[in-house]
Amino acid sequence: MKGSQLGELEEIILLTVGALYDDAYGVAVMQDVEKRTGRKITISTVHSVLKRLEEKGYCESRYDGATNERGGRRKHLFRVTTAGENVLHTSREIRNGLWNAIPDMAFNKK
Amino acid sequence: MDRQEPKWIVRWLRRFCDQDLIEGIEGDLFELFELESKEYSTSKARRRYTWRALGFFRASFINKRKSITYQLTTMLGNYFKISIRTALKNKTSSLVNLLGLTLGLTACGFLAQYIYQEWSYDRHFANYDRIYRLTLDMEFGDEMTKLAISPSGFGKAVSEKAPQVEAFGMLRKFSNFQFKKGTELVKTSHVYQTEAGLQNILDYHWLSGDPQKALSAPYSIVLTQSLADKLLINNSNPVGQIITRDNEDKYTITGIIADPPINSHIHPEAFISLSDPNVVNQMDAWRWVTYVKVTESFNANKFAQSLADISTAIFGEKGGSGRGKIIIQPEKLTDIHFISDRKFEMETNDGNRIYIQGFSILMILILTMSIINYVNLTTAQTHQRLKEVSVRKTFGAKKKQIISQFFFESGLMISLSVVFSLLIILGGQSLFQSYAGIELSIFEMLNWKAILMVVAVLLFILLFSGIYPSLKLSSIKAFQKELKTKTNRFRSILILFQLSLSCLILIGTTVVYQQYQFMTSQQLGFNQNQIITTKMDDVAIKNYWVIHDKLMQLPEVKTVASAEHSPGETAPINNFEYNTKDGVKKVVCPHIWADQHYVEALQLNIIAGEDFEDYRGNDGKRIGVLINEAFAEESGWTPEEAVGQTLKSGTSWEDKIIGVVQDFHFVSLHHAIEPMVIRHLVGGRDLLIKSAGTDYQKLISEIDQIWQETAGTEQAEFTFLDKHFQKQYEKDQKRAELFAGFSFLIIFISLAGLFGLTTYTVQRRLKEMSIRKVHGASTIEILSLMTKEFGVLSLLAAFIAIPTAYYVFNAWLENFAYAINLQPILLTLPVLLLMMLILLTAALRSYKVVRVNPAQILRNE
Repeated sequence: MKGSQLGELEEIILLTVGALYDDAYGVAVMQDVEKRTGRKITISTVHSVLKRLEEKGYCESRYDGATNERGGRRKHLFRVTTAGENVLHTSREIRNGLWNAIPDMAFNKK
Repeated sequence: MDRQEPKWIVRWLRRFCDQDLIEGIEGDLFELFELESKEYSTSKARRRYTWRALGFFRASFINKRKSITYQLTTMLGNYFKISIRTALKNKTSSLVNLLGLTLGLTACGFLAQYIYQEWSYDRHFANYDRIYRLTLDMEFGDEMTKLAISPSGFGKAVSEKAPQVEAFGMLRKFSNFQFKKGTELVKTSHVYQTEAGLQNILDYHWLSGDPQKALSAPYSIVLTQSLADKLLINNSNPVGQIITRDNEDKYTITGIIADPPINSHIHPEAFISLSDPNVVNQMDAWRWVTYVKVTESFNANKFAQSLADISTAIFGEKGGSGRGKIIIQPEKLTDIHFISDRKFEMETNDGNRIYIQGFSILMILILTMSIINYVNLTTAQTHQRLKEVSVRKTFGAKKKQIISQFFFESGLMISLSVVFSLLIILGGQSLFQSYAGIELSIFEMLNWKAILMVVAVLLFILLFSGIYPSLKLSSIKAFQKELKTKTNRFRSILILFQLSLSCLILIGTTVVYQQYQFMTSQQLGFNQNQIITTKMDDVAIKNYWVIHDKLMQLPEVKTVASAEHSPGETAPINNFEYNTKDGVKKVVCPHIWADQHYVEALQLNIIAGEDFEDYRGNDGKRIGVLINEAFAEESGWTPEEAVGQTLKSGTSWEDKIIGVVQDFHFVSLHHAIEPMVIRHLVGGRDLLIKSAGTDYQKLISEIDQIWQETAGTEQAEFTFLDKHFQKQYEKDQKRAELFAGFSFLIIFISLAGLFGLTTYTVQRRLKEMSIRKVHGASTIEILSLMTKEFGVLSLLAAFIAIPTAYYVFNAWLENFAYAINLQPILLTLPVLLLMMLILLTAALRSYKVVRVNPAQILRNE
């Protein structure tokens, strides 16, 4: 189905959202991705991908309670939905399947 | 917290972004800013902030509810859809609108080129706005003679005496130079003699040679590229080569200039230097045209004052031979092409501001007609669109939005027309250029000013075609069923305007065409038909009588004559003096030389005295001169009295008048007939052969044979005198044709508009007419009902147009030396014709109503 496919960056960000659990907002996601993968992505790209994930139904978002930090702006927090979980599982299974299909010979040449 | 993020970008971001996202985005940006503020300098952090914020201006974050861009694109999409649907629904009117606008814009595109070329005359010279030509008005008794020429020392004298004059230039034209190219002769008709400083006044584009020095040594010549190509055998290194004139004068080529632009009042083929540099200090030889360049701090009033003083200083209060005061008249360089029609112009200035104005008016009229069509047809649709506008209003459309919708529709229509007309213009460009004699390419005309003008004109069209329909339609109230009749009245006024103009234009075209016909069919006073002319070189002139006698033996040849200057050329000017009781009087007029067969060849009428006697000697024996009627009139003699009078010229020449010829148009009909003297000369440069038959091919081959046996040159070029003469009207004819073509276009556009409107009336009144038919109305009755409105309007239009036309065109005809009378038939016939056309158009369309079966229309009620 068109639109249900996960892009590579989308998958990484969705996984990051899952990893950060209750504190997944723009800057945190950006920093975490950078820390784990070494990839520098801009904050606008992060927001754009998060919005797309939400439109596809893999994420849901809410605003945090008011704080004095961040110039008084609330955090826009994201959480993985069941559909998101499913799509991550599917993706992982496809990969696992592919890994299993590779004969030992192929990678263990000596 | 003393560090501030850049606020402006946040403001823009807030306006742009989705309301649900903006808080999170702003917060993240702020957090990163704070982090980086610790790391970098404030300015760097701010820069990075701005850069990052710019990343958020992408389509996925756009605020769909508030963003102008988003709303606009969706709204425009809707407008576009509706426009297309309405256009398809009313195919006739859409087609008429599109056709009208396209034709209008195309016509304007072409006309603008024509106007531009005329306007641009002499504007390519660097200091065109500071260059004046100094002409002289000379008083003779009560009369004022307006001269283009001045004495040779005039320019220098003025530049020394007038403080505002920076430089001067002078030109003298030779129209009859022939140069040798091996054994061949190359003819030129525009060789100008000039002093060394010409480049300071008229800056031509020099390809080689030194502009400042090229024309200082005597017998130097500067050729134009095209003459150099024609004249030189070895063209690779022209400067320094020596060329020989037919009289064996030798000239050294000192420079080559690019061919001068066509849009100039002179069209030089070559410039030669002064043979005696001292002439600039002498006050005789009235053959020079003088130009001056004034300083930048030029003051016209002061200049006029100083010229008056200078005139007195140079020429004195009075001259000899009854000459009175001389007034120096400065003419702006750019005006010469349009206004200057003086005696002894170097070339005919055939420009006329009236043409520029006329064509500009035509252009505006064409656009007006297309706009009126658009407005009429769109407002006629109003009742159709009542529902649409009502629905829009019910759903909360604001008046502003409805207005913009209808402006969008006009804009769409205009853009489509622009595309079509651009295609037509590009396709027909070369055809139009060669037809209208436009020699500037379209790219030479398109500078940024021109483009700006075009854009402004298009916006103007948009404004005028969109404003009424959009205001009208936007003022509809939701649930309104009918429109007030005010719209109809406005439409009637517009139609009346259109029809009156069409009448006026049709009358105008007829009058202009008649006048042109009249001018070309005017009696020239001599018979130009069946005359072959050619130029003779020195060898031919020496053997003139041999050639003459051999030619006369040909059965097809009636008369052979030789002359210096044949009709259609500019004759040189001379002073002639004669004695009266009150002393010596003087006439300044053109004179030509001719032999004893000239009068016979041209079939001139001798009204008093007699023709030259048959004297074959070439020794300059005085056997008398002929004058024309105008000369006799100017001198106050009757033709009979004139015969026997003695004319003097200069110090040594004097001769008796032996005959008076009836006036004839030596130059074109643009000019009134001037006094003229014909002096006797055997073997002038022009050979005229009057043929008895019309088998010119055979005749020319026979003449050619005689030529090769007797004359020096191998080949002679033959032209027909009538063709040569006709050439002078070519530009007039083009103008008349262009004028007529564009006028008919206007009429066509307005008729097309009426056609479209009738289509609507038919649609609206179909039921009414069907009921009438059921009740027994005849075809004629229905047709007259349908066409009544236009009939009344066209009658009214005729009443407006005819008196206006009478007034306007009477004034116009006063510009001509020889004009037609405005007869009533000239005014009424075109109007009647147009009225018939209008009624026919309306009736043709209405015939649909007559043909239709009433039952089919009415069964739905």
